[in-house]
Amino acid sequence: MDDDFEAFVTARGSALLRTAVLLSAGSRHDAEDTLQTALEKAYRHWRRIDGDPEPYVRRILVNLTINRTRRFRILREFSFADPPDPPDRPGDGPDVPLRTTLLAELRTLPPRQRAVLVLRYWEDLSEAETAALLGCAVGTVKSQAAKGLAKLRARTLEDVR
Amino acid sequence: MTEQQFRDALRAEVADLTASPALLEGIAIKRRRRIVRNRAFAATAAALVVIGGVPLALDGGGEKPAPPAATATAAVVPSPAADIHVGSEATYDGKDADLLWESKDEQIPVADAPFGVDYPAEPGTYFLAATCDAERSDYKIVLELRAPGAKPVVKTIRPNKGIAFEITALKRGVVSAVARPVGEGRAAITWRLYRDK
Repeated sequence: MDDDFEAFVTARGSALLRTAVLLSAGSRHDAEDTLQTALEKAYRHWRRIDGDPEPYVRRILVNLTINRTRRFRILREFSFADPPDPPDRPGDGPDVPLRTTLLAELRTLPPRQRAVLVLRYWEDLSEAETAALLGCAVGTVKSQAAKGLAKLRARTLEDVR
Repeated sequence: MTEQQFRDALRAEVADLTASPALLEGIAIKRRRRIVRNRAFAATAAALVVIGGVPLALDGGGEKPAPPAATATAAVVPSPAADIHVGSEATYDGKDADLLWESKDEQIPVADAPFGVDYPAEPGTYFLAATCDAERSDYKIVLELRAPGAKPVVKTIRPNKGIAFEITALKRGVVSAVARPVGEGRAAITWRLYRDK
């Protein structure tokens, strides 16, 4: 593989993996698989990418995750072995029950709505950038973000109580 | 929950995540799998075209039959009902006929095995024009031509000499030609198969 590509993956792989995990609503296995596929797709056209390749890779990643989520509504993979409980991480942000509930609820959102929330609040993209990446109107991003947050707010408050 | 709390929750969730050192290896594996898969699809598609193209051409389903594959010639039972006439290349120049197939300067080393072409044909009149360009004047190609219902014809093509065959096929079948190189060195042969309008 090209040295440029390897350097990009080494430098930005972790950041892209975090985005992929959030887009996949916490499933690291799905996220790693989707990220590998996205990077392989990007590598096919690596020489033709002008400037920073990260937005291009991120767009592939988002589209792949949305497509996979839709497909897995029909064909879903189940794990038969329960993973071990994650260790408590006190003092590193919001309390664990809220975060656990949040991710569980994030998983129930429609894939596009979830992508809007992740891009807006994790990637800190503007509404216009998010709309351009998802190929929709700015108004759609605003409404989807508001609806998604409202759903999460209502559900997490109920569960945490 | 405010927007800021949501941001903080997302950040806290993935703060400890780092990409696996095997990420690049995973990409390379996916790349190899895709290449292998694409090759398998291409081979399957080509096989389906060949399998589906022959009956289609025999049934007259397309305007022009599929290009022939270079294969060994199948034996055809001779019959006096049809015939193959041999003339010079000048006797037929391709006017008022459809060019069905043309070879592209196939280089024939003398040591190579005979090669041939099979062409699915409907009843009608066909013309096969052949020319040979060789490095040496003693190089020649023995051409054996078969058509459905006709006696096979064997003719020798010498370098820079053209030859033409008029083929009358009275029934559906396969027009075939087999070339056997004789001599030393290499030669280029051009075949053109026409169908009379």
